[in-house]
Formats: sequence, C-alpha cells, structure tokens
Amino acid sequence: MTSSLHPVIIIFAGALLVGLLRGKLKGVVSVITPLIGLINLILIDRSQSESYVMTLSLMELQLEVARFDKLSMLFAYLFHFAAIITSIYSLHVRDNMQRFTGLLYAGSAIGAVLAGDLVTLFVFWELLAVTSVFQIWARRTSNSSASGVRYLLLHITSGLLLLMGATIIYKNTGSLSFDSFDLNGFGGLLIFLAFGIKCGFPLLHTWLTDSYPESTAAGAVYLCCFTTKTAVYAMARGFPGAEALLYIGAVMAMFPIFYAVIENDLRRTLAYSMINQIGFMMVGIGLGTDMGINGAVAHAFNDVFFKGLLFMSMGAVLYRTGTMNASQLGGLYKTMPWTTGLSIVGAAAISGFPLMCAFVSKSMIMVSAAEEGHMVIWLLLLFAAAGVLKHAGIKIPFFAFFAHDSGIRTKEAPINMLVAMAISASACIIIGCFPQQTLYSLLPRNVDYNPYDLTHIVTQFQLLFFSAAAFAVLMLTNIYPPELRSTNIDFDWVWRKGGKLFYKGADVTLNTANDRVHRAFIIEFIGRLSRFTKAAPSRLLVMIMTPFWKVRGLDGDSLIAKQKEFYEDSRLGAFPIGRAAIFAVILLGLLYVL
Amino acid sequence: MNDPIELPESNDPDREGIVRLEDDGKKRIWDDPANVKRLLKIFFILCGIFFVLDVIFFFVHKHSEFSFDGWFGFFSVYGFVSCSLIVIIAKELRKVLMKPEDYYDK
Repeated sequence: MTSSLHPVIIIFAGALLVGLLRGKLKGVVSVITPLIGLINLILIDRSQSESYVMTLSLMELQLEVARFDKLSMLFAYLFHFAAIITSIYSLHVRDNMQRFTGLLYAGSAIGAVLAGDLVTLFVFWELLAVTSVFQIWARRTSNSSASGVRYLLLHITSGLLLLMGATIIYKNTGSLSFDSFDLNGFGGLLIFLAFGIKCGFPLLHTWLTDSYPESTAAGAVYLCCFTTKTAVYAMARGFPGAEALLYIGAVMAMFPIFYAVIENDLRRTLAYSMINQIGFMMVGIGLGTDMGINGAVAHAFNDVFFKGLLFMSMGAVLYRTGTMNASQLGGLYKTMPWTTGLSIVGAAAISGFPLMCAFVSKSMIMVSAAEEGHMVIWLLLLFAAAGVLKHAGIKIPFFAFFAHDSGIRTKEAPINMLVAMAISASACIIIGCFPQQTLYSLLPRNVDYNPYDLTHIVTQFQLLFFSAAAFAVLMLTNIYPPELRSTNIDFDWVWRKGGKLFYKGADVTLNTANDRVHRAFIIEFIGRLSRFTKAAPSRLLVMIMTPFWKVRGLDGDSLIAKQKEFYEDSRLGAFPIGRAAIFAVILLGLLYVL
Repeated sequence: MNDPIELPESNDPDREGIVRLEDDGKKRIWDDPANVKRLLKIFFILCGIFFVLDVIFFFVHKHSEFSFDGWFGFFSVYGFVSCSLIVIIAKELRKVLMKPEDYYDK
C-alpha cells in the first residue's frame, strides 16, 4: 500500500470532527485521528524513496507543501506521537475549543516541519502561533488572558520577521526553498531571529516562562510538545553550524538554572528547564557536526517525552489540588502514588541517568563539543547538566510529592492522565535502553555512536550522585533557600513594568503638553477671540456715538449710563426701530456713495 | 509554615478536578524519620562507591577528551561544586530578583 495524502489534511479533518462532536465520540476521534495520521506517515515513509516532495502550484509559485527526508520525517513522527499522547491526556477536558484547537495546533506543527518552502513554512508558522494561544486562553482567568496576549505579540512578531526575511531572500536569490540560510545576509538574519523567538533565545525567552504556567493543566503539555520543537527543527534545517548558536546555546543552558532554583511555581520551573534543554540543542546545531546535529534533534525528540511527562505530572497535581506553588505542596505521594512514580521516571530521564532517554541524546552533544575542542562550552554544559538534576530532576518531584507534608489529601490523577504519562514514561525507558533500534535509526546523519561505554556510564553516575549529594547536604544544613511565594524579575520586566513606565511617561509628558495647549489655545485664545468678535462691533459703535452724545451735552454719569445702555442694545442687536432705521439709511447712503 | 491555598478563579475549567479528602490517619513510609535516615545513609554510601569506582580506570582505559577530565574524581567533584554553586548563587540572586507575588499587578 502506498499513500500520497498530505499528513496535515488528516489531522485538520479530525480536528474539525472533534469540534463538531460531543461526548465519548469526540474523545475517540481525537485519539484515532493522530493514529490514522501515523499510519499514513508510515505508508509514505515506506513507499517513497529517500526524499520525496509534494508540490502545489499557486499562481506562478511552485510550493513544496511537504518534503519528506530523514530530518523532517523524524519530527513528523515525533509530532504524531505527541498528538496521540496529548489527546489522551486531555480526554477529560470538556472545553470543545481547547480540544479542537489542540489538534489544529498539532497539525500546524506537522505542517511546519514538512514545509519545503518559505511560503508554506510561514503559513504554518502563523497557524502555530494562533492555534497555540488557545491553550493559554482556555484557562479563562485574567492572568491567562493577559499572558496569552503577550504570547501572541511575540509569536506574531516572529511570523512577520520570517515573512520579511523570506521576501528579502526571494528578491535577492529568486528562490523560496527552505534550506540552509546565510546568517550574514539581512534576510537570513531576520529568519534567524524569527526562529530564535520561538526557540526562546535569551531576552526573547519570556513568552515561555510567562505563558506555560498560566495555561490549563493540559494546555502546558500541548505547548511544551510542539512550538519549541518546531523551532529547533527550523534552526537545524536553516542554520546548521552557525557559530553564534554555540554561545547563544551556552547562555540558554546556563541562566535559567538559577531562576529555576528560586522559582516557586513548579510549572514555571519546568519552563525555565525547557530553555535550558533547548540551550543544549542550540549548541548541538551550532557545532554543525554530524554528531552535533544528530544530538540536537535526538534531544528534541526525547524532550517531548521527558519534559512532556514532567508537565503532565505537574498538570495532574494542578488538576487535583488547584495550586502549583511549591510552598503549598508536598507530601502528595501519599495520595497520588502513580503520579509520583511516573514523575520520578520523567525526572530521572531528564537528568540523564543511564538507561533513560536523555543519557543517549545529551551525551552526543557533549561528545561533539569536546571533539571540536570547545573546552569552555563543554565545561558550561557539564555545569548545566548538573543543574538539570538539581532544578528538574530533584526539585520537581521532591517539592510536589515529598518535602514537608502540606496536609493536602487528594485523589489519584484521572485514568486518562495516568495512561498518557505511562506511555511517555515507557518511551523514555525504551529509547534509553534500546537507542540503536529506536531513536538512532531515525536520525538524519549517519554517525556510529554508542552511549554505553564504561567511562560514560561511570562518570555520569558520579556527576549525578554528587550533584544530588550537594542538594542533600544543603538541605540538611538549611543553606538551601526555602520556597517562597514571589515573583522573580526576568527580562519581561522591560515590557510589563517598562511598558507601564512608558505608558506613565507618555501619559505625563503628552497629556501635560496636551493640557497646556488646550488651555492656551482652546480656552484662552478662542475665548478671547470670541469675546473680541462679540464685543468689538459694539465698542466700535459706542466709540462712534460718544462724540455725538457729548455734543448733545451728556457727560459724567449720564454719559456712562448712555454708553452702557447702547453697548447692551448693540450687543444684543436690540435697537429701537428708529435707531435701526437711521443705521439702515446710513448704510444705504454709504452703498450709494460707494 | 504552609500558606493556605486559595481556589483558582471561578472561570478556570481545571477547578472541577480538585478533590480534598480528610487524612486517613495512616502512617506512610516517609512519616517515619528512621526511614528517611536509612535512605540518606544508603544514598551517601552509593556516593562513596561511585567516587571510589574511579579506581577501575587505573586498569581500564578512560576516554578523556581533555586532560583534566581524566583526573581521579573529576566528575564527582565537579558535580558537587556545580550544584552547590548554583544554589548559593541563586540564593544571592533572590536579593536582587525577588519581588512580591502580585508585583506585576500593581
């Protein structure tokens, strides 16, 4: 059997059905849709040669709406798995909008990684932004709607940068194909920034730590699976070997660790951890070696499972307890034993314990950095790897499920959540135990690498155990900082507080100026002008008449009284008939003379 | 020590999942400090074993990419120092970064 059906069509059609259906059928369709998509993808993979494209003619443009090669295929498979897991995890969600946009979101991510040209990429890139924001808004709180708007602003900016870059490149080269770009050209730089926003580059990362904790329990799982992974794919496709990524990646791997340690919201801790993991991937892509690229995409692949698993376990805690604050949680292992166990698997996987998936992917990046002689980068990554254990591996399960007993007694997570978590946990272990048969066979470059050699296993255990020992010692000696309810200032201060400051500044300067001008011009000037136009003719008449009155012998008080009376009459236009007649005669006489 | 949990806003769809039960009064495994002590003991013994395990590299070749990563105990010391540094630096950073929870709402 062969297939030449674009994978996105299946997912989008399924999403429409999910939007229309109600009850059990909706759940069934939402899980079966990505399964059918997966079968379709396998058929395409089997029936076609190494690389294969689907084209579409749009006016004079020849679009590659789908390109299947090893790199895009790996991500297409990944997103189908992710769609299955997220669909199962969100089976309890009754909000139709979230379920509908959730599948559309997965479909957009699949479309983006399959895009062979920049126009198709742009369309799915924007769809990705628009469909994903509903995972945040679905929470329907005031914080989530504000956070969603900030999220959308950055992501739409990313799309516009991509469009601008694509236009410039098309103008310069006449080609729209989505392959590697030149970072020295302006068009390439814009596209680099567009991808960078979605990757969570330092200073552009704030949407991640802002929105993930504000989304629904299931929403955060969706968000962590698709957007950043699409961006990592785009970076691996567009800028392999870009040296800037080495340093950007190292910064990304380092700075979030410190934030993660002091963060109270456990899902925000995971969001910081996400930036840290993407940092590793960026370094791999920046190295540009076969091993580095393989390591980066392999790590992105694994990240969906282990980070997804951690987000799912925290989502379950949020769903059952209503809070994500480490300061309020603790002791949940008593009532949520399955969630606890599965969360620990995720924690072990992200930390890179041998026989777990991060062990077989992160090490490729480390080895490649060392082979290329980047000693400082290697040392920083090793530092970050110890930090991962600390802030994700220990902090997440420890403060949620153990630590001091919070007294919260609740129920185990719903069965659909447990099933989704169990699937991810199995994937973490299977990939970790059998990398050659599973993940490595999907990787884009041909590299012979075996993670299980004695040195690697022993040194990894040493690193992890002694990092954990540091945590234990700091806890026992009470040096470890307590979990406190707080906000930690990050770069989004610039637009959240800075925006307010700017608004205030603008308010003060512009409104003061406005006020002054209003007073000077509208009130003072116009007032005088209108008084002048109203009073001037009457005064003029009084001035003309005064000599006549003086001749008639009026003076002193009687003159002033006469002037006042005349002035009033003239202002109101209320002259006695006789006087009006005289004026009319004078006027006619003047006309006649002239 | 614990701060009370206020329920999520009434619009939040995840509110429907919240379950609060009474404590059933049973003692669980980590309620007993002796068990925690035992766990810590096992853990520190394992740490010791892994530290000493570097001895095997006197007999087996250790792949080292740079010279220093072949030193005895390098990864153990590096892991311990890194993790301690992270926590201590982060704790200091709190003085600069930490603001009240409703900082952005004001």
